Amino acid sequence: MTENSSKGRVSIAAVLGLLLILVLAAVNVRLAVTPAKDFLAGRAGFSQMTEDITAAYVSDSFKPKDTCLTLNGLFGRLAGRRVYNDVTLMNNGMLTHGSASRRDMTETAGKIISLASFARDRGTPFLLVIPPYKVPLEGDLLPAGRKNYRNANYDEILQRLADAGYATLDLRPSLSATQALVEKYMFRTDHHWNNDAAFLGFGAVMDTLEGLLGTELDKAYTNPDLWERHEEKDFWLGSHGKRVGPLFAGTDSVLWYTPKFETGMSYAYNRKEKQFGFLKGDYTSIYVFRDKFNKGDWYNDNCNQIYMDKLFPLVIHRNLNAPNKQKIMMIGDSYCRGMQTFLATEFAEVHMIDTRYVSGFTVAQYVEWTRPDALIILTSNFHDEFIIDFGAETETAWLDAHPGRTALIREEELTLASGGGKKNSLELPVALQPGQTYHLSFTRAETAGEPADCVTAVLWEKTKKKTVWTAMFDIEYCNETGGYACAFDVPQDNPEGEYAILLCPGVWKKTPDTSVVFSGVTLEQEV
Amino acid sequence: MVFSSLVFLLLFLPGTLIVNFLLPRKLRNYWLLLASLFFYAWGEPSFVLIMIASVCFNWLLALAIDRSARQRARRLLLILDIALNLGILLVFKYLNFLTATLHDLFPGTASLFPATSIALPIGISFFTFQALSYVVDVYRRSAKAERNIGFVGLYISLFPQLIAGPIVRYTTIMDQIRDRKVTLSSFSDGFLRFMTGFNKKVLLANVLAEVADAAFKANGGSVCMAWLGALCYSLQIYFDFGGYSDMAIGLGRMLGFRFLENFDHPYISRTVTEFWRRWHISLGTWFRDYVYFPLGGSRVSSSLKLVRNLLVVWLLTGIWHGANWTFILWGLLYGVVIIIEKLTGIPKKLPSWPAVCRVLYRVLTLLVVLLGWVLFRADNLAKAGTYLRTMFGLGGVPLSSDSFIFNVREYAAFWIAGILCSVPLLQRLRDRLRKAGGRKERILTEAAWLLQLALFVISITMLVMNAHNPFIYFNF
Repeated sequence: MTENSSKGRVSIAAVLGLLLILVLAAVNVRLAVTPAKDFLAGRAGFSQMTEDITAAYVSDSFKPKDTCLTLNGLFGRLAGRRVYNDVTLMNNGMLTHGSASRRDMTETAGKIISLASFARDRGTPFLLVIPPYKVPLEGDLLPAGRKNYRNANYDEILQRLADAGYATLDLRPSLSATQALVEKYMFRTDHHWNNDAAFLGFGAVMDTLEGLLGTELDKAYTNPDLWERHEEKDFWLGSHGKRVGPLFAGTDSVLWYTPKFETGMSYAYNRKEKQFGFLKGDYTSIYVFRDKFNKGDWYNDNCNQIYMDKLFPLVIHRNLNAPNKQKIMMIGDSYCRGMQTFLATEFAEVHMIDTRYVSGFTVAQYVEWTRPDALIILTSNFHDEFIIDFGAETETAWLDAHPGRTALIREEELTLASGGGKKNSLELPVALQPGQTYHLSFTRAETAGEPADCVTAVLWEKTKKKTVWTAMFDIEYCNETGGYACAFDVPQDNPEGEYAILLCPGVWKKTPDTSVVFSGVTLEQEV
Repeated sequence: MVFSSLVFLLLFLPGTLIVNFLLPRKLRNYWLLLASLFFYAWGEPSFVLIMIASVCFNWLLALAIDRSARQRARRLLLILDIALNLGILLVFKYLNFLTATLHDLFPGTASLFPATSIALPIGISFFTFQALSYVVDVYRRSAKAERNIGFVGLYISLFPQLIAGPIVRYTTIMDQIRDRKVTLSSFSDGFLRFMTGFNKKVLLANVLAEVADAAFKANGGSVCMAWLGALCYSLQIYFDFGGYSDMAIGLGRMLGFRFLENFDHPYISRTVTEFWRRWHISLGTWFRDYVYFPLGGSRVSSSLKLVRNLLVVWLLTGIWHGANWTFILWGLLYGVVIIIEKLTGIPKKLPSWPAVCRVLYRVLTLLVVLLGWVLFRADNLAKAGTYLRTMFGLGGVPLSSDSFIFNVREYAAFWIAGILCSVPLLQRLRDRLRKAGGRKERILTEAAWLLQLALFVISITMLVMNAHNPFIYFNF
């Protein structure tokens, strides 16, 4: 190409282009400052500086990244792209994954069956729930030549579980069999089901659990008339939409349900060492996080988090007012956000584990410790990161080698006085051994002083002053139902560590000025 | 650092330009030299020392040659310079390949000549050839040796053409190093050229690469997909390399340098000989001036010598492109075809052929080029063979596949745009407008550039989306 001969003219396009570069350069030059300073101060080498600057320019700090993503999505759409930035635009205008290959689900199914068998040996019926998927069972909405094998992978899992004699619930026929159902029950720009689908799924799970538990359940709260449905249109961009912008395939509504009936429940959650908490109150105040989100904040908000906000390794829901007194354990992912809260209105306890984040114990151990009345897996994700080794064989071997327990503490009463500040706690007089399992229980907790909704048991490492794990108990619930119980595995990766169990009022490190009397305290070690 | 990156576009380029134009003229060369070394060191902090060493010994030897009156001494110094430059290439580019080939052929030599794993400095083939051409031109007395090492350093390392050409001759820019002028309109022209190249690289080359990569990953997969992949790779490499050259020429213009053109719509070539006058012109002319002509060129006493000369040139061309048998075979393929054309006189006779025959020969030319690109792209000879067999339906491959059905439609806008942009349609339209002149010409021309600007904005958004887009010719 020969160059443009402008006959001495300056092109407007050139001026505008140069201005654009200068403005973007000025706005983003700050990204280079810190790496350059580190290099000049000798804190980083030249290569490190160049890597850091390059990374900064492609990070979320680049301005205006959101505008660039939106414009780029528009371009992709105008250029006729159907698969863009690992997202597929289906024939009905909805977005789904870029691709899904056909996998051999033998190993995955094997892990699930191993856990199901472990649970069954403990009298806990097992249920696998498959949620709806964006690609319908009937019809082909994908671009010509594209294949998505997720439904086939799900079919294989279901078949293997059924062949092994375990209960399954496939929600796809009722919620995503056809294009119409997909458009009704799935988000347009996100991979999740919407809360209309989650609510219907809740009803289906309750029906199935009734059969599994062999007892009549009060399913009143599965009636949508008892709930208020909220919807705000064009509110957010889902996970797929965030990759291509709002102009590629549109946006999504946010919708959620709140009960019209009276509620009072609590949940305790663990996230990481310093992220754990306890919330108690009515359903809407503790579960619904509408105020966290702003309409049109396309690239930051994830309105699928409207229930529960975050995902946690372990959440324990407790509901003294629940019509059904069973304890349900659920292993799931983000598909369970709404579902776990719906189930918490029906059941006394719902224990929710997300295996992607859990550490310190295995799922099988947790089943052994809590002995739930039913165990459910509900996930869309059958990849290795979720379907891990649940630890059934390891736990079985451990229990065979440690068939009994020895009591280390049996106290009628232990008292913690108030006035100890934010870390006011009672240390149980036992030095715990790394690699061992301990069971803590007490029959009652009475507080006096500042109000406390919960008490907490903390597994504490004294030399590093580190919180290893916490178990938070709803005082009202546990006093009423007759007991507090939890189990801890002491880590073995720190053999020199000094571990202890602390008991405190409220949430650990935020203890109110309250004295507590713990009754019937027992600490046992598995031997 | 690559041109089509946010760091270059929004940090290095504006910073370099601003300081360049704020400095007094006499300091600008030193600033550009510093910026160029920094540009190179960004990706290769240790290899910048090799470039500096190359600058030093080439400068020294050129001076020595220039000062030496005795022809024998001049020749010896030239030979020394050639040996040092080619020695660098041999060690950093070809040693791994040579030792691996030796071990394959003679397994017993592994202990004598251990396998090497030397990293390849980016752009080494370009700046080495550039340095060689400088010293040879001094030897030939086409140019005077430059006494200022900074100016020689600037010539060899100037960032617009450092990493992927064009291979600039010293005689082209020696006056511009000392005295160059940048006007608003020349700066504007340079920016427009840069923008055009940027768009070619990001919006065409990078996108078409997705199809090519899918095809070559599957070794073709089906007949149709193999052909689509070959087509898309042909377009990808053109817009990648041609786009880079546009950017280099545009950047040079913004700094006051005028580089020669490196591509001239190669896919409209009527013969393979013509193709190589339109493709990577700076490399073709380099081999012509520094290898072919010294061997005698076509003015030799026998056809055998002509054949020898052409085979040497094309063997070296293939080797220059990379340390792999695929490149060597690719070069030799062109050598053979060009030899046939030369011996039969086809390029001269072609205009007198019937139109149908001329069209058919043009198609044949494109076919040779396309098949050559398959060799060029393949990881090794075995994969090249498999791919080529797939293209021709051998080995029981299906005619079509899901991959073809998807890719031909998904990327239709891009491969069609690629084909249209590879012919001088717009160029001719613009030339006609220019001849007509007047207000209409100005408005339409500006509108076209504003469209390019809109695409430039989109290209920037593409970079934000995709962080990784190295140039194909980066590793030469």
